[in-house]
Parts: sequence; C-alpha cells; structure tokens
Amino acid sequence: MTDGDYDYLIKLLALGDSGVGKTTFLYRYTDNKFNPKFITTVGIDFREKRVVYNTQGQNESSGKAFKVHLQLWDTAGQERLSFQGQLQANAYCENPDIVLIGNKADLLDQREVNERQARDLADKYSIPYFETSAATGQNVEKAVETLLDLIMKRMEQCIEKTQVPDAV
Amino acid sequence: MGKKLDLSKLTDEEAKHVWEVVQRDFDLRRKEEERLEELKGKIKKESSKRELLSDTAHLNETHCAHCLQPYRLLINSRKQCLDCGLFTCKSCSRVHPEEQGWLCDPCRLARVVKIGSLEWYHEHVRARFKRFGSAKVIRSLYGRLQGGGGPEPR
Ligand SMILES: Nc1nc2c(ncn2[C@@H]2O[C@H](COP(=O)(O)OP(=O)(O)OP(=O)(O)O)[C@@H](O)[C@H]2O)c(=O)[nH]1
Ligand SMILES: [Mg+2]
Ligand SMILES: [Zn+2]
Ligand SMILES: [Zn+2]
Repeated sequence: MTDGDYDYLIKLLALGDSGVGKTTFLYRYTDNKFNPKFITTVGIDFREKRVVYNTQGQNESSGKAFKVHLQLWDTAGQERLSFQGQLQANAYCENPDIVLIGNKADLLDQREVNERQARDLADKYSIPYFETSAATGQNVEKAVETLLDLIMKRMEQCIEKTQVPDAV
Repeated sequence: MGKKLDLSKLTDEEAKHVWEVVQRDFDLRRKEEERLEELKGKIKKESSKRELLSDTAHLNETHCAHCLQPYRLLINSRKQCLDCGLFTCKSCSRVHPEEQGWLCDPCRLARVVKIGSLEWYHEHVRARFKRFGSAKVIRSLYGRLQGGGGPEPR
C-alpha cells in the first residue's frame, strides 16, 4: 500500500479523553469525511496520509518540496483500553512539538471549555491552539499543517546545525 | 512511568485488533528501513564518484562535483561544501543559514539520512521499547493469540 517514494516519515500522535473526537478528527483529515457514529477506539490505531511540504527558500537558495508520509497514531481515551500512559512514557523525544486542539467547535451550545481557558493553557506552554470541527472540517487541516510545520522546521534546523549527535 | 499495561483486560476481539495494528506498524517500519538502505546505497555511489573526481587533478576547480557541469563565472558561481569541501554549482547545493556556508546536495542527503534513519535515535528508542514499549505489547499478545505467526520483536 505504502510506496517508498517519500522523503520523510513523520509520526504524529493524538491524545485526549474518550469521546473528544480524536478518531473522527483524524478520519476527517485523511479522508475528508465525517463519521457521526461513536465507536470507541480499542487500544491503538493509525491512519496514513501522503502530503507535500514546501520549505521556504533562504537567501540565495530556493525552497524545496518534500514528500512527507504521515503516520497518524490514534489512541484510546477510555481508561480500560488505554495505551496513552505507555505512549507518553515512550514518547520518541523529550520535548515533542505539540498543538492543542479544542474540537467540536460546531456544537456551540454544548461548549465545555471556554476559549479563554484553553488559550491561556496553550500560551502557558507556548503552543499553538486551534478550535476545530471534524463535522464541518473547520481548521482540521490547518491544525495538522501547523504541527507538521513545527516538526519540519525543527528537522531542518537539526540538519543544518549539527553534526548529528552520536548518542542521546 | 504511566499507567501499567494490562493486556489481560482486553477481550480476544480487542487483543486481535491491537495485534493487527502492531503488524501494520511493523510493515511501515520495514518499508522505511528499506527506503533508508536504498538512500545509503545512493550516497555510497555518489562518494565513489567523488573519489574519482578528486583524483582527477583540478577538475573540480572548473566543474561542479555533482552535476559535472563547468562553471560559467558569475552566472553559476561555485560554492564550497561545509562537509566534503568539494565545490559544487549553486543549483547543486543549499545555503546554510547559520554557518554562512553551503552544503552540497549529497552531503545534505547524508545528513538527512543520518537524522531520518536516526541511527542514534533508533538505538535509543529501541532500548527504551525493549523495556516497556511495543515489544512488550507484542510479546504478551504473542502468548495470547496462538498461531498468530507474526514477526518476532527485535
Ligand atoms: N458535532 C461534532 N461531533 C463530533 C466532532 N468530532 C467528533 N464528533 C463525534 O463525537 C463522537 C466521539 O468521537 P470519536 O472520534 O470516536 O472520539 P475519540 O476521541 O476517538 O474517543 P475514544 O476512541 O474513546 O478515545 C462521535 O460520535 C463523533 O462523530 C465534531 O467536531 N463535531
Ligand atoms: Mg477513538
Ligand atoms: Zn552542479
Ligand atoms: Zn558536500
């Protein structure tokens, strides 16, 4: 299914309580569809998507287009089925790039977290915040693209700055 | 670390699902490893081409080490690579913002592969996963789903 014709394999991870819409959000992102049914995730799952990432050119060099293969991990929010503890404990890096997402923005009258609180939290950790809706598609791509941008920028820096460290 | 992993709490159906996900992940990882091996091969080829070039006295003074085109002064000025020290033309290298120098494409690729394959990081992750991560998930599922026939964790 996956052909190897890509430049980077990037892994993203969706974390959050059961029912907030992680699975539905990822499905909207990969297939641009909305699934109104709630089928709670068992343990773990992942979806894949191929995207093109454009770097901005600096000074004399022009930007380049990279093919990025995304592996989007979905986790179970339900305590009984959860691997989130393990996944966090085994996170690939000590300080991963993060975006905070408030989903179900279309359900205005059922809001549970007010925007001010969410923004304050995001500001506290200096991470981007998005209000999304898997139902309408609002901000879904933007949230993922912002995260990808953070990761790619960091990777570029890593390539340019360092002789890669031999050990961590 | 976080919550304890207890697969015995899963029903057989649920355990099967997790097993399949883990399998798909293995497939993806295997493909990624194959891809990186191929890239490493390319880099090797490029470097033997370069050895040849540096033996051919002074050729690199007038020709790009990568595309082997002659430099036409001013139009396509030559750039020296930070890593290998060879000269390439502008379109075969990229500016390096911090060190005020240039990286030729093959050397850049080599850096990418090093980071992408994350040999350093894989080792690190592997060591950690051995202790509590997916290897453990597999081992305990393996015991449960007899005849699953999946890959052994490495
Ligand atoms: N109206 C609306 N409903 C949504 C939205 N996102 C998800 N839902 C619904 O919310 C319910 C739960 O969504 P899921 O994606 O299954 O939730 P989850 O976070 O994956 O839950 P767990 O797998 O248990 O962790 C489903 O019925 C979805 O259709 C949204 O943006 N708007
Ligand atoms: Mg889910
Ligand atoms: Zn050239
Ligand atoms: Zn070089």
